[in-house]
Amino acid sequence: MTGALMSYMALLDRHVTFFNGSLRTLLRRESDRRRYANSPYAWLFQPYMGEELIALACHAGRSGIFSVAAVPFTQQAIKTSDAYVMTLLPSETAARQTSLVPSQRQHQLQHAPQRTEVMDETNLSELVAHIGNRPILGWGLRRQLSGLNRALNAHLGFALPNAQVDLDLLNRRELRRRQPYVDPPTNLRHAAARYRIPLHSFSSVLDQATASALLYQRLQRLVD
Amino acid sequence: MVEVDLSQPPFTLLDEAGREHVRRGMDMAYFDRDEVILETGQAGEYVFLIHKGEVAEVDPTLPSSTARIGHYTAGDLFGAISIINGKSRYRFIAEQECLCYLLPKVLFQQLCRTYSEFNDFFRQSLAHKARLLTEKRAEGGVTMAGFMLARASECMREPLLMEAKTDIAGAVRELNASHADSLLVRRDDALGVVTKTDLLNALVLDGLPQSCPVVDIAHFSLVTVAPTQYLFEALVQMTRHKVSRVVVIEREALKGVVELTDVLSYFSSRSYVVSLQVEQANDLESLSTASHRTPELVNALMAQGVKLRFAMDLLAALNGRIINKAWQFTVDERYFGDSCMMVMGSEGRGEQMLKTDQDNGLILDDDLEWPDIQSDMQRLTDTLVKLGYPPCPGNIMVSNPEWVGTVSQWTNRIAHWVEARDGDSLMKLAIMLDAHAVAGNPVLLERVRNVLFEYGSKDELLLSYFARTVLRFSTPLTLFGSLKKPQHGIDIKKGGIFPIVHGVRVMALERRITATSTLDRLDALAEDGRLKRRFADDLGEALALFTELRLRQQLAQESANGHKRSDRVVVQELSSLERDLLREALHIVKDFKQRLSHRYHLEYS
Repeated sequence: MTGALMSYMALLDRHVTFFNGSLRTLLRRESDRRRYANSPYAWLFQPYMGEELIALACHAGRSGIFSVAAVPFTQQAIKTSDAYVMTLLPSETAARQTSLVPSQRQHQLQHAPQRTEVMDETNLSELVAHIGNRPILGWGLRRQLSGLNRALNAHLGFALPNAQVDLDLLNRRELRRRQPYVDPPTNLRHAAARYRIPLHSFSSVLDQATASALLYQRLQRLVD
Repeated sequence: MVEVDLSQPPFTLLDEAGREHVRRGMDMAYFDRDEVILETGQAGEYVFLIHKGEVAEVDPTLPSSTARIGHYTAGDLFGAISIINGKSRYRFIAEQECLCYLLPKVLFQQLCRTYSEFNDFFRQSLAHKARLLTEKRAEGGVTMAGFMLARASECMREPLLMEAKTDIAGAVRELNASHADSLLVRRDDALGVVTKTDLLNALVLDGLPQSCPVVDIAHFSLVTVAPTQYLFEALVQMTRHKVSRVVVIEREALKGVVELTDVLSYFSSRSYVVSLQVEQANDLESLSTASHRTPELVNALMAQGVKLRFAMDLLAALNGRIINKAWQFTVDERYFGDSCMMVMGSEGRGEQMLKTDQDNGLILDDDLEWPDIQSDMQRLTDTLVKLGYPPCPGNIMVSNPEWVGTVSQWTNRIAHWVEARDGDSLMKLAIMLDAHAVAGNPVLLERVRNVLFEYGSKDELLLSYFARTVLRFSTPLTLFGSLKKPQHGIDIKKGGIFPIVHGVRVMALERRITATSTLDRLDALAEDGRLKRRFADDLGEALALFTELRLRQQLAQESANGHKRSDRVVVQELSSLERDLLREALHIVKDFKQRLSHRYHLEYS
């Protein structure tokens, strides 16, 4: 009994360092990890030991259309060449075999014109494989991920198990540290301007992901 | 897949597919202030394209005051040479926070293999890059292509070659039948030209019979060009020799004739007619009108991206003709054979595009009697002022008796200057070395120049003193971007033009080279073996670049606020390719200065 508890505590310790979440998500992840231990997705549930992070930006549009960008980066470089950008169409739209309705078309052009696919198991598992077990980072990550996780749950049966860094929270913490009595409204654009990040466009998901990565690098250097 | 501006060279050398590759393959990186981006000796993994921020290139082996050898800002590219050479020669440091796009080594090498022009861009000399710039500008100039790129062969007429025994009557019939203006005849191996004017003069003024063979009235001293030469050069030749047609010869074989009227219709824009107006001017007033239009011509040539060397040649020929005409209007013809008017300084080198102060002098034959010379020369100076050449503040003008003298007086002066070797004398020697005859008898100038060479070329001490001024102004490699007020710019005349012009002048004195233009001197020095051809070409291109930047600055200022001229170029206003060229050109100047110090032992001065 004691031995089982000890090993469970050790597991907990190991994960607390990487997963900065609540106990409930922790337990959920651990059970997921066991559940998928013999599936091809098993490796996604292993802790990540490398130096890369994934900057993630999602945008859900009307009638189920969904754009996502995942950009790997390290503390030194942002690997935009290795970026994953895709617009996913709900399967019923694709099944209708018709062209996109105007609002969908606009969404596609504005957010991720590079590639458009059907939202199904193949494409989602490709996205998940690209993200891998690297920690993910984004602005307002919980909100961003809700749509994606819903889709993942529906098609693959699990939500992203990765460690998460919410840039919004990080930024607020930094702001509070500097100006404890001011609570300025923040969004990604403001924060980028504040730290003089020279990106002019924030419209596409790729731009947002890149800006998030740059902002994170900035904030990390400020802390150092 | 990033949004990056690829509309600047070298990316313009790729096609759309290649640029798409670049966009897809680029990463981004952020560097903090004072962070080392690329260390000396480190293997190059990326080509860096700066999106924002400034990067300094530093040679860590040098003391800190001179260590900074380059400066890059937004839009500039660095790191390519490190990839080509395998490792970085210098250290690159972020001067400010810096966001760069990174082009991975593998992709860069792949692009180099696929696109030969892109490859050449990183491997070629400055001369090549400058040509790219000209070509790029040429694309911008609307009417340029037809004008500058036209070659003599494109505007050439079929030659009308006649038997030597053809008589005048037959020649006239043939001329009318073929609508030609001139005909060629062959006598033995020589070609001669007969114009319609010659035929008229022969019949009416000389009273020759119609049966007289045309070969008797032909001129056998032909002005020729090669078919591949620019039409522009043909125009220069016509202006210089005062003829209205040139014969096109390729490897001794007759190819055709280029007529002035054809050239002018080719260059039908008003500005190009200035040279014709100068030729036709019969009085001071019309000459003055033509003379005041030369800035317009310069502007038109520059706007169309004409290579500076040709533009300078044309302007030098034009200025020479204008001064020559002024001379003819003021000086009595009987003195022409025994006197020689020379222009000096930048005019003498033929490197003056806009009219600057007149620097001129007069050489007389030892036996010449010219009683009212002082008043004549005063009148000549005044005439030149009227024509738009402002008087020289140093009073180096024919109206000053110090700059008028017989050959033996000049010899004494030179001997005195060589002996004195003080600043003033050295300056006068420099001015005298650039002298170029524009009117009168050029033989007199040759004699004086020989004296100068006799004194100067062997005197190592004099050469050393003479060369010393090259080091007087520092070459502003370190000023890039770090000026307190960027609008002050860098002084391109002191930092770039002067060292090249003067250094080349010293070498020309040493090697007894009679050419006066710096570019010609460089050619001669390369021929002579004194300089490597490649280095001479690079120096020439550097000079052309400086002159051009300065000229553009001056033209802009002239149109903006009257006559205040400055030699300062504001680096921030240049395009990134131009900055790149300027940087490289200044390095060449630095290199040249080092060679000069070594050759003329200036280390201890």
